[in-house]
Amino acid sequence: MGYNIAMISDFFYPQLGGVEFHMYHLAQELIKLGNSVIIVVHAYSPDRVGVRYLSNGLKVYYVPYFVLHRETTFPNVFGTFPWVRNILIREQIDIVHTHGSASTFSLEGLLCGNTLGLKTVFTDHSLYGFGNITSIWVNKLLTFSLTNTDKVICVSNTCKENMIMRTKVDPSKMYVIPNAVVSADFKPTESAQDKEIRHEREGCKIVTINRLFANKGADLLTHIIPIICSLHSDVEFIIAGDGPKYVDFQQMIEKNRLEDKVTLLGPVPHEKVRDVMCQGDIYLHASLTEAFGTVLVEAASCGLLIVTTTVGGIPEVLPSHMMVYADDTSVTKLVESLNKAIKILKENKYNGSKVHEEIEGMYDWSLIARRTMNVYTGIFENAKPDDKNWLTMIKKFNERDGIWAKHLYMLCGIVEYLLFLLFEILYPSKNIELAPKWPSKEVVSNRISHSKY
Amino acid sequence: MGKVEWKRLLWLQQDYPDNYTDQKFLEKVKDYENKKLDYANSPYLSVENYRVVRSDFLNFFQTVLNTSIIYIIFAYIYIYDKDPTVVTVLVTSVIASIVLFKEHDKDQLSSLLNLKSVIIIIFSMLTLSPILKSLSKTTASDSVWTLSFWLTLWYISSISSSKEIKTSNVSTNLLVAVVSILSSRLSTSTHVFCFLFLCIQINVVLPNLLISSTVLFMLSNSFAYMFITHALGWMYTFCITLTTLLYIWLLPKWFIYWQVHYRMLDDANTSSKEALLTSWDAKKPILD
Repeated sequence: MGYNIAMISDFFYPQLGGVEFHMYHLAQELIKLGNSVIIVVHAYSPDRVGVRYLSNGLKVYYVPYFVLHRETTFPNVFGTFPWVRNILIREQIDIVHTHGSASTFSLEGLLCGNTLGLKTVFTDHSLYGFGNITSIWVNKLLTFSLTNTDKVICVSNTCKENMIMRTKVDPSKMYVIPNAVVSADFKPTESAQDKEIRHEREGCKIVTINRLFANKGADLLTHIIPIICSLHSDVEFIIAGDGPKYVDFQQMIEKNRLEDKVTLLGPVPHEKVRDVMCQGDIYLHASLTEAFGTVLVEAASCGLLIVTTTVGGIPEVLPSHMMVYADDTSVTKLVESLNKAIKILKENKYNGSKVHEEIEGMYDWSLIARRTMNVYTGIFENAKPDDKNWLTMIKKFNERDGIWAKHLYMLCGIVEYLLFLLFEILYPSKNIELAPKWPSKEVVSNRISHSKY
Repeated sequence: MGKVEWKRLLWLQQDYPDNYTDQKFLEKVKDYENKKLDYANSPYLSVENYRVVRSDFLNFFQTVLNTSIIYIIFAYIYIYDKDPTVVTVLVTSVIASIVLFKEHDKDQLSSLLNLKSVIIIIFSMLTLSPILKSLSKTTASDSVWTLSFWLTLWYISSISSSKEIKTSNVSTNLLVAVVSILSSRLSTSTHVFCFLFLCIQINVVLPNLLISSTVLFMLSNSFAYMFITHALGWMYTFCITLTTLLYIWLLPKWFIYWQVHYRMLDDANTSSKEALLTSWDAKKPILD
């Protein structure tokens, strides 16, 4: 009953972000469905090292490893093999599910899982181009890692199409399963006091919560804010987030004397995001690239009207009546859309609390987990007996494009298999102690047997 | 049929499996892969493009050649034990006369004839020479050769990438580093000064003075080949000449072949309106 699943990535708590929340919530829901889930990440020294347990017996292995840049570990093909092999055998894993294409742990985890003959799934959360050296490098690595991976999950259709072009994996092996939000954590303002505050104001407040990077549209924001403030005397801005463009925002405020109109909050912890969002009426999203845009769902769930660009997967995420789109990533179009949104709010045509209920039905982690479970069961149903045969896997590497690349792929594969044999001699798998599993609640298993899905 | 058409939406529960692929996209990919390209009339086959590519290759060749002159001067002083003073005076006077007699517009002239800074640099080099001589005296010669080798590689790469943008002075600093590492092997401060002075003149002043000049090219080439013949013999000269010719004639052709057969496909798919490959790039902000 249930699978033993290992989720492997470079990104997890104590770091916070899209991938981290995705892994945590998905793991929790999978546990509720009767699976056993462990998470393998690199250690976040000095505090997060060793083995930890989170809620409901979610076990996290913090593997000591050299961190290179922005919490990504040093990229090489075989480095994590000894640790990951040990953990996978120890935990009697059936399915290796890894996250994030820029993560070394994730890609090596796939190779390691395939070598050990386990089922493998990969989830991607971001978009990559084709024109610069970093993306070419990541794409080649990913092509190698996904050659023998059983299923790929992408967070949006845009993401999936990007993935098809990047790795030339059979589209029928790729699933689109979006992110979700815990809508209970993103409720619109309810308390009497909050409501009063909102009614006291005549104008409206525009919120934006983003890391202040160039690709998140920071330059657009610093141009839009002064224009909107000069057009509307009763509009205020709240900007949360930190990043290299923070200084630009400070300069923009000082230059245009907007100290009483624009509030710069700096970094906001995730649990406070809802409180910040609820202070506003409009959420402004000027991002230049986006695979999914969880923050949009969170903002809409808080009852905010959303003004956004239409880049990447954004148009797929929410129904059009919750959004005001800007046709392109220009200051003019965004200002136009903001004006439109302000007009809608002033005429009281937007009902935020109704939207919250709608979103509750659209994005829910338990639904996402069930869809992911379908992917898992699909692997076992579609599996051919020789899928994880070493020779078959080498043959698949040989079918790849690129005369240099495919030989390198085969070489890496063979070296990995030799490593496997070496470790079988040095540290035989029968000597690895098996870890006892966290007992699952009977209540949970009962609920699953009654579930119709 | 009766089945509702698939919509490209994530929030809608649709009666399609999760691995359903947008058919429109698959058609797009088919178009992309079947695109007919007119290789015979490629814009990359133009004479103009060939000129640009070849001059880029030649520029890099020139950079390497100029760098090799550092080692030729060093060998002249260190291995052949010659006095570099005469050569220094000769080269300096030639460069000075080029500065004086070449036609300049007024701004360029004033910046080139910035006498004050020239004098300051020369005097500080004079003062530094004894220090440079003793700086890595205690280091073994093998370490000095290895270090100078890697620094030279770094110098070449920095100079080739900063050709367009003249603001960075990383390459000049690296040149001085190479020279000061090698200086400790020389016997007198005068030799160190002459070595430093010659290297800076030939590698920094001269290339800026005579940008892509045929005379300079011929001069430095014949100088380098003369030295190679003298030091290593005809066989080496022959092999090096052959390699150089291959580099100058064959590599640009190969590069253009690559442009025609690989880059054209990318161009065809990035320039057209329904560009596929660039559709996932971060959009440019339009700050109008």
